[in-house]
Amino acid sequence: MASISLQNVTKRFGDVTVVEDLDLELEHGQFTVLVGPSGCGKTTTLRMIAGLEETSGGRILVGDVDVTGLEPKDRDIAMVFQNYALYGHLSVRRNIGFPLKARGVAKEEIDLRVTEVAESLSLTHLLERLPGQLSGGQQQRVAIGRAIIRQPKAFLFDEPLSNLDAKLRLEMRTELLRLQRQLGVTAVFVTHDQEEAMTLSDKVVVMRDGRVAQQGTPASVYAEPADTFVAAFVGSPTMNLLPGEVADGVFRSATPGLVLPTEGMVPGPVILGLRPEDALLTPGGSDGTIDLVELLGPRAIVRVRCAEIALTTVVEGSALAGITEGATVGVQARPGSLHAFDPDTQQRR
Amino acid sequence: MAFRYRMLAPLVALFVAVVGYPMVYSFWLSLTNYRITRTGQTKFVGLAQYQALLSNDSFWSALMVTATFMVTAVGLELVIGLGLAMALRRQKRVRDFTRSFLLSPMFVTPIAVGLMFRFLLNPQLGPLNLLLEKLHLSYDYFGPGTALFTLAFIDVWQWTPFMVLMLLAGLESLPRAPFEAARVDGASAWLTFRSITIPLLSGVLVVAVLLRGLDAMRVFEYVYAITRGGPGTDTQTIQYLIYQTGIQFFRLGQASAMAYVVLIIVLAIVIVLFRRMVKEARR
Repeated sequence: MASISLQNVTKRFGDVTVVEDLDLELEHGQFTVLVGPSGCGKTTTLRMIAGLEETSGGRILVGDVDVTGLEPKDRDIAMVFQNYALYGHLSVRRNIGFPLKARGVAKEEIDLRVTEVAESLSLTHLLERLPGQLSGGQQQRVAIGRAIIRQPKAFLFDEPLSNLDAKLRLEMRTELLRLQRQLGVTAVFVTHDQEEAMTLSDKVVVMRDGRVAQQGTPASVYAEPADTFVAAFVGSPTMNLLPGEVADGVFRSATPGLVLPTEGMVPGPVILGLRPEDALLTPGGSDGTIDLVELLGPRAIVRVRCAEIALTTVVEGSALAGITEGATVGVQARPGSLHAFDPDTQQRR
Repeated sequence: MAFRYRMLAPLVALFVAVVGYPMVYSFWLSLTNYRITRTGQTKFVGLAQYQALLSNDSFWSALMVTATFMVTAVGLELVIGLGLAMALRRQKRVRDFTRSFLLSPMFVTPIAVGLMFRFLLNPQLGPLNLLLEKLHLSYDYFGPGTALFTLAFIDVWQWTPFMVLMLLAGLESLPRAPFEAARVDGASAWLTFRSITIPLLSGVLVVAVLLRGLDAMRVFEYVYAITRGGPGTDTQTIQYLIYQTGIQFFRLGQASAMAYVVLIIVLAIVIVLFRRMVKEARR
């Protein structure tokens, strides 16, 4: 096990810079999630750590060792691929044992370790099957088994849950977290699903256009997004971002419709951030009309129109009485919940 | 007649006329003692021609010669072709030129290739022998024990590009992920080749070997243009024997029986290989 350090790492494909001057410290034993929209460079970053892509600049260290120019096999890192990348013609037993065979481990030792790993992943009864005869979740577990069998310094996961159905994804998410905690190994996980990132990670790294937009604990990134991109990307439903102006302790939206009290906010033009769960539908405040109610079970996503402004709010099940489409409501913000962003730089104030 | 059958009818009629009639007619010939020189004495002999083949040493010898030729030529083509295909896959510059240049032998007609090598390897006039002479060496390309392998080498020269073409297409269509997984897992180049490339490529390998094997089994032009089956019967392949029996010795009944035995052997090989391929594909 070891920490991973990326120092000024850059990756170019021809004239296109995919990752630029990336500095990251992925600490020993931590579960770090790289999250961002498609094309933000997160998978390329992961592949550079694995050694599957050469860097165009910068250094990558695993522990104290500079692995920048090393082949993947010399980095002692295991990777779980998006489509599992199992060897379709080899049985589950031989798939899991392959990394040990590649390292010249004796057959008896391989058999022993495969049995142990298979037991820990509930794969014992599937050992003689071919990957094509397994379900998606079982294939995923085989891929994980292949990664953990040689006890590498770090695990890399490239969107490993994206091909699973919603229920299985939740199960595997828990399974992955349990496994990582049990093994105490450094893990880097790439996903475009911010919910996955928030639930899995000790540390979340939000990427945009090949750069780190923000990094920190999931709670800190959620509570204090560094800019409007992170604010809109992290959280579901996404944060309401409302251009307007603060004057005399009151925010007035640029498009008429919303007026909110803003204690202690610097006067002037602003982009106001309001999390859906912090928008309260109570009497008083700005008038709004309910456009749409999407019931999710314990809570509902409610779309409210305040004059020309469309606002997304989340209402708990217990407070849904009277929340019906077409009803008139008052909109207020939970005290102290507002976020302010600079309209020019889009950065948090 | 339903419309779909009427639409099919012209093709079926053409197929029957062009393929069906010669097949049936040659099968009928194989059941007779038909000779072009004695057409008046033709009579039905049942399976006598086939029974006679069982004790016909020339026939079995020709089959062995053909099998030796086929295994040598196709084996070498497979090994060289796979090596070249793997090298070409990694090539980064002048790829198109290299590939077109490499394919050029395939576009020469086999009879011309035969004549070309007949002169190239000629003991008196051939430049290769002149070169060997200067080095005080000598080699009889068309002598006993060597002629068949020279013909196999010519086949390798002409048809390895076909193997390269097939295998290169196969290699380039292989998924990238298992190879990347193998790199991360720490597999050596040899382990990757043996445990991943070959199994993943097996479908293409079977088809390529099958096509080349069937083609090599038909070898006739090189024999006709260079050795005429000699020295002795060293290069008397089955196709050349059938040609001699039917066209030179006019025994069309016997030649047809030989042709049918070859057809059965070919069908057996094709069925076995295809079943294996289907089994592989289902896994």
